Amino acid sequence: MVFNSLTFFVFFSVVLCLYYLPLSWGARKAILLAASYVFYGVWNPPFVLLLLFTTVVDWLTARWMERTEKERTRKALLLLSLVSNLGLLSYFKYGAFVLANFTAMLAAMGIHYSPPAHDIVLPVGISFYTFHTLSYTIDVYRQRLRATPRLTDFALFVSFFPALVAGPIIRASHFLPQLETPKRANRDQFGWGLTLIFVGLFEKVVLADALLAPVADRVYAATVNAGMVSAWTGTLAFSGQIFFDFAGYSTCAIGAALCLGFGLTKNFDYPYAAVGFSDFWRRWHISLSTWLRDYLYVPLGGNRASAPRVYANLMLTMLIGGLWHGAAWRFVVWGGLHGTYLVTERLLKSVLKKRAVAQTQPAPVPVAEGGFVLLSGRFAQVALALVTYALVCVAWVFFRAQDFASARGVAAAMIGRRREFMPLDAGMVAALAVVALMLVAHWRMRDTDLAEVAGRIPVWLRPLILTFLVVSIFFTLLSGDSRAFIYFQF
Amino acid sequence: MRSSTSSSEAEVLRADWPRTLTATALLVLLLLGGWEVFWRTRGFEPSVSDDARLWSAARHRVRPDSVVLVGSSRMHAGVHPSDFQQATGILPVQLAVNGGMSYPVLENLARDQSFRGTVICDLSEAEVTTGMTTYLETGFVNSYEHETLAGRAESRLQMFAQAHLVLASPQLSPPLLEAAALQGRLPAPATSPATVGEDRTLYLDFTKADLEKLRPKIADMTVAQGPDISPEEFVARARRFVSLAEKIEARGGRVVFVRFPTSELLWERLEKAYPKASYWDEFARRTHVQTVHFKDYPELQFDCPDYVHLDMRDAPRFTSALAKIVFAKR
Repeated sequence: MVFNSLTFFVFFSVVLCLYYLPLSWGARKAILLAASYVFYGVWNPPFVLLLLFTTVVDWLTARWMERTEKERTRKALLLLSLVSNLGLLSYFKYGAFVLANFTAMLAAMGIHYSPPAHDIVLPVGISFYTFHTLSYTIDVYRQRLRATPRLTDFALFVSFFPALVAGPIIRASHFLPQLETPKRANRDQFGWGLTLIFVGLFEKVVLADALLAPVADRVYAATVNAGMVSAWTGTLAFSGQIFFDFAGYSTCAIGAALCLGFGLTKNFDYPYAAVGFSDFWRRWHISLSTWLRDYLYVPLGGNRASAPRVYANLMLTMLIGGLWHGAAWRFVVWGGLHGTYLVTERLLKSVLKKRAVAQTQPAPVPVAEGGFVLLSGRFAQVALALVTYALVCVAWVFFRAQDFASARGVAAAMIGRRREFMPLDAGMVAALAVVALMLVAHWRMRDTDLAEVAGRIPVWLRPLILTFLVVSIFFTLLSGDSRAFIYFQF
Repeated sequence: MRSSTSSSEAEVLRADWPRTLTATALLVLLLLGGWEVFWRTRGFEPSVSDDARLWSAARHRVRPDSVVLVGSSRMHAGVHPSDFQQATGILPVQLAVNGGMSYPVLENLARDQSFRGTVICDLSEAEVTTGMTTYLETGFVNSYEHETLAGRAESRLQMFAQAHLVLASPQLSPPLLEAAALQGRLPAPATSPATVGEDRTLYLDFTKADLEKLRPKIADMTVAQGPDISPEEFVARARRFVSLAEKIEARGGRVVFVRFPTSELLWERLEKAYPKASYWDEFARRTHVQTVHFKDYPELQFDCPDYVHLDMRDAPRFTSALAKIVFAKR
């Protein structure tokens, strides 16, 4: 089930009615658990068993891990959890990719091999719930979290429907304590939760699907016709589409959870206002970047190793992050580009710092860990943010293109090496206007929060804005041309 | 004022939410209600789209022993399920596709191991000789085969809204409204001679059609579809339909191939290209699958205003006659 559907409105209304019945907290949690399994099952019922399997294995593993004091047993149990989770993920998500590359490698060696057909359906959300459960078993192994004695609580953590299929990736340490005490949204949480659902849906159905996606689709479907202007327009449109699509989903998820009285972590923080790439990754898909930081980058040695090792760790983390997004080399290239950006940024910072020390001048002031100020002053910061955004867009080319030939075509067009056969039209101009407004909004809101901005809106204007959002969503949903969320494929 | 329970969580806006949400709900109702009334006063009526969702919903109604109608617009316009039910007591499922072909739908039913009902399949010389399929029926079949439970529920809700609300009408979808606005006019109610019911019955009202323009188009399009092949080759090419029928019949089902009425000039041209006696009759003679050709039954001979489709006023009588023939042949 997707949020941008009439079905979800009916489903969520029923869930809210049942959840707020005067029942015990255990019964209300059971309602949420059943609703989460229905939410997942209506997509493909047999995959509910997969979700259940992952849940039971990790719950048992963590319980056993906590009971034993033998380090070897604990390690073996962690390994079991990693193998079962990553094994399922690899089979369903990367099986065909590995087989195709293996066949290509054999062909390059002159060996002809025709593998059997590998027609496997990727279970929606497997990348997300695998990371939910892995964070739990790893934290229990590290003894940073107590294993929960209640299977139903753990099952609700894994399957909590607002975040089940496309995040934000929730951590057991953040979610399980919320199940300890009965939850009821107060008026502010409920009202703001509904508002977030409408804002998220507006981002998804109106901005991403209706205004930006058609332009990106048109350019990337006929890359041979794209010249410099249309290639940049299509790529900028995609940068907006993927942001509004994914941030829209996250906003809906946070809103839906809030209506139920639960808090989810923020997943986006105006990423296109980032100054530098470490800043970008603190603002884009925060739940994934922090997951990769805590469970991959830090265990690899993080920042504490020698400089070459840190660069290698960064690159490896970003390559795996790229592969997490999809089983294709272009996602690896996307991750590799971001890894290169991050390594370059670190090198640059290090050089500037050394130079500053040599000249006995103050070193460039870190804005925050990993971020930097190359040039002070508002305009310089805006310029750096625009450079960051432009380079992020270059990476998006590999993310969006269907294959490397298309990506090369768009990249060549973006640097002016292709003749233009796709003149700007009204749709493209509208998409550029939306992107421009998005960039201005990100910049102006980079140090604030939506609630703070909404709080500054006059009280009489709020119902008018909400009405505009609801009516726009309603008409778009009724037109029936809704797209799946891009992140559903991950 | 803002609040949050954790630094990593989104902030919450503190406000007078009951008042804000009530005002929003009232405004939304007022706007949508006004929109509905406005377009109804301009002559719009609720209507469903004859799209993949409607087709898929019909396909889901097929039971193992159902009677299923398969074919192109000839079947779609010519056989009305409710009239079929009146004649036989059986309500058939209409799976014909306006602008589509029979083969992919027949193939879908042949692949469905649970199906052992009756298929009444529209078969034309053009489809047999060219072997063509269109994106329409193949898209519909694909959409049905990949439809999730959630997708099915969504289709039902969309169709319910379309059947009861003008504001959900495809004629008033945002792209069409935008196009009309760019031309500086308000959309007018569709004057198309074709309307579709929730059960996928296609009503063709030729009093609303410009036959002077329509007839030459249909004649050129239909005759141009078929290549010059021998009767033997025709029978050979029809074999792929027969093999699908055999699969259904092997499970205890039944298939009847029907050649729908064609009138005047077009029939004359078709008779020259593929004379019935040497093409259809030869095919009928060499297959054990039941066939019905309109020329062999006086009660099936109707005048098609555009040469190939029955008017909605003739469809009930044609339906009744065909249903009786199909079940009498049993």
